[in-house]
Amino acid sequence: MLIRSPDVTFSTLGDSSILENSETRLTFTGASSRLCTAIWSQLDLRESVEEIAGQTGYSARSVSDFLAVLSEDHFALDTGCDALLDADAALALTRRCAAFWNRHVMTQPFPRLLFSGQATPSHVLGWGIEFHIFVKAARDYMARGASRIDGPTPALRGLWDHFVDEAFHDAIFREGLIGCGVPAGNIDNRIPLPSTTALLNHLWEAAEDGDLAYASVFALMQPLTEPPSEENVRARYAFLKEVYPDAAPLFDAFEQHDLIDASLEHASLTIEPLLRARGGVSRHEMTLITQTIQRTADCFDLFFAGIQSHYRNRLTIDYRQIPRIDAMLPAEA
Amino acid sequence: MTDIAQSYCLSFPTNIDHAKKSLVLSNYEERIRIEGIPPSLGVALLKRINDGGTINDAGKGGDDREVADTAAAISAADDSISGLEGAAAERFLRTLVQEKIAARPTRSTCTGHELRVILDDHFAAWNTALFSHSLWTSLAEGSARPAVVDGWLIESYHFIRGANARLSYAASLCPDPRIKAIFAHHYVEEYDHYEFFAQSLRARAIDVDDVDRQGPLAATRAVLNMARKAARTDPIAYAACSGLMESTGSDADRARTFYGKVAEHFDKSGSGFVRPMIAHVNLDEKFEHGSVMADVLDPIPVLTVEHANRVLQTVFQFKETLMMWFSEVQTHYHRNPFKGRALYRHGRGNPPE
Repeated sequence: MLIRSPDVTFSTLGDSSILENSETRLTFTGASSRLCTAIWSQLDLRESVEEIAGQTGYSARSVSDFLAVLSEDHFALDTGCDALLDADAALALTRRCAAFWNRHVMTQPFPRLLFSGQATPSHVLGWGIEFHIFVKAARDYMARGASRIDGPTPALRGLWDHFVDEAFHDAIFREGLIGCGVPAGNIDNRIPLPSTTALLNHLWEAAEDGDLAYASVFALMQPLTEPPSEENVRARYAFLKEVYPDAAPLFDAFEQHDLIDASLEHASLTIEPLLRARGGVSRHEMTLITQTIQRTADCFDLFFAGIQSHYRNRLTIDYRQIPRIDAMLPAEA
Repeated sequence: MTDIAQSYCLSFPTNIDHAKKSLVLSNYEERIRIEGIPPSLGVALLKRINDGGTINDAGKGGDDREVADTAAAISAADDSISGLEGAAAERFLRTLVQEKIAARPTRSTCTGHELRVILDDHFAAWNTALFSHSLWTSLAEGSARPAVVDGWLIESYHFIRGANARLSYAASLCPDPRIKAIFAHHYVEEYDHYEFFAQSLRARAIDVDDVDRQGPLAATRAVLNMARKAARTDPIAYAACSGLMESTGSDADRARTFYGKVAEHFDKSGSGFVRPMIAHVNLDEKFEHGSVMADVLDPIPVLTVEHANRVLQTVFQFKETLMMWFSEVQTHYHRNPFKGRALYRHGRGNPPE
């Protein structure tokens, strides 16, 4: 399937066609403009390059070359594949898909605000609170993902190890939040926002769906081909601690966690051993992988948007009532 | 007698509406201005009660460390407030108890019937909140875009079709044979009701195959997944979520009036697209689905209050998820009208202005 990025707008100016997202603007003129207009209108509607070629009258080569340009900037994604893919081809498509959707998630309004240093203190702490809940949920969805034994041990071992590595990492973020003055009782009993719950329940359902779907969610979360260097991690958090000094203990926690993840090589795709053990996948399985990655991205969109809309002031950090029936029960006769 | 060394719990809901110049709380019925305490200190104490601590955690003869610490912090931040005493906390607590905002938890168990009555009270208020959402008011008043009407129908179709993802799941996981039979009966009655919405879609010239291919919005999945979460963790919590869903349709006359308004505003061509939905309301009325939660809960002789609290928390999360769903349906279809030809549908996007 040929997918256009939801973050790109198409416009025309004179004889030029313009595609742009928040970071990049591509301008096509003359014949290229006509090619752009024809192909862009077909994305999301066609399964393959050949179909677009048939619809537009351009050669498959022209369509393919143009899509390569769009793909480079994550303006479009081709998830089309053969009926059977070997492990390398499946891995390559998984990586392309993960990079495309990860970029989409990270360019949504809240992540951009947060990581550019422009979020409010309440947004930063609110993000820490919901992120802590997300990390704690490893004991739900990662436990479910790990709970399978049908298949070669070397392939499944990665799922088991991953849960073991992450099972109690919430403690790191809990300490970070306490360091920012959020009381332990407020952290431990917190009712997640519905948008956070949506993400966590989606992750559980993916884990329930099978090993490929489960491993796909990590492709989106950790799409890098190389683990970030210690220097990169430290520089990233030095910046965030500088722009959000009140939340420094929280970013210490993130830094500590990222360094642990990097040392555990969580940048390598959890799905790779599963693909290699299978020797490849069918188109149906590949669709499951790409669809799960996209649905996970949709849920991260909700997660971030929910934080931005809820944590508007300090009171939203301090107080989220835990519903209890105690006060409504009549005294016992 | 109030005692700051004891645990209290807040009546639900206790909203903090204002906490700057004065402290104003609210619940479903009223707003209450609390006098005689600096708002920041009041919030600190409410927070403390909500987090499960006592106001005086040390609990020894007025050794009110939390309050003293908070008071000191407030004094440091605001010179106009000084010399706050632990007595202020006690006065505040007394006011909360008098206003029935806080109470000492005296029970460790309750009956299923007691829980059901409490849930019914909440559902009445939540239904008002749910159907005051701008998605519903815009449909009733005729201000919604036609694309949003389509979207509301499409996602309602997915939601009703989703009974197959939640009700049978709840039945399969339920360890109690009595409750399992109730869920299975409910499933048998509900499983094919999506056909009513499919008929409505067809009447609006929306191809159901296209709708199936593109699948529901993430927020619609979130509603179904939340119900499934309840089902796998606690059949009583699932019954409560089911109760909330059924309560939304339990007032058949109100539903028929609503659909009449939708037809008046959005069916000028006379396609009759609301007729199947009215038929659905009539059928549900005949089945008396509003009784499922009562059938599950009423015979339960004893539940721990902790268990009952978890049930309320789960159904509260479900209600919040429904509110999120309405917002997402409205926003998504306002920006992205349904395109039947598309093989694929996007979620949120962030295109440049």
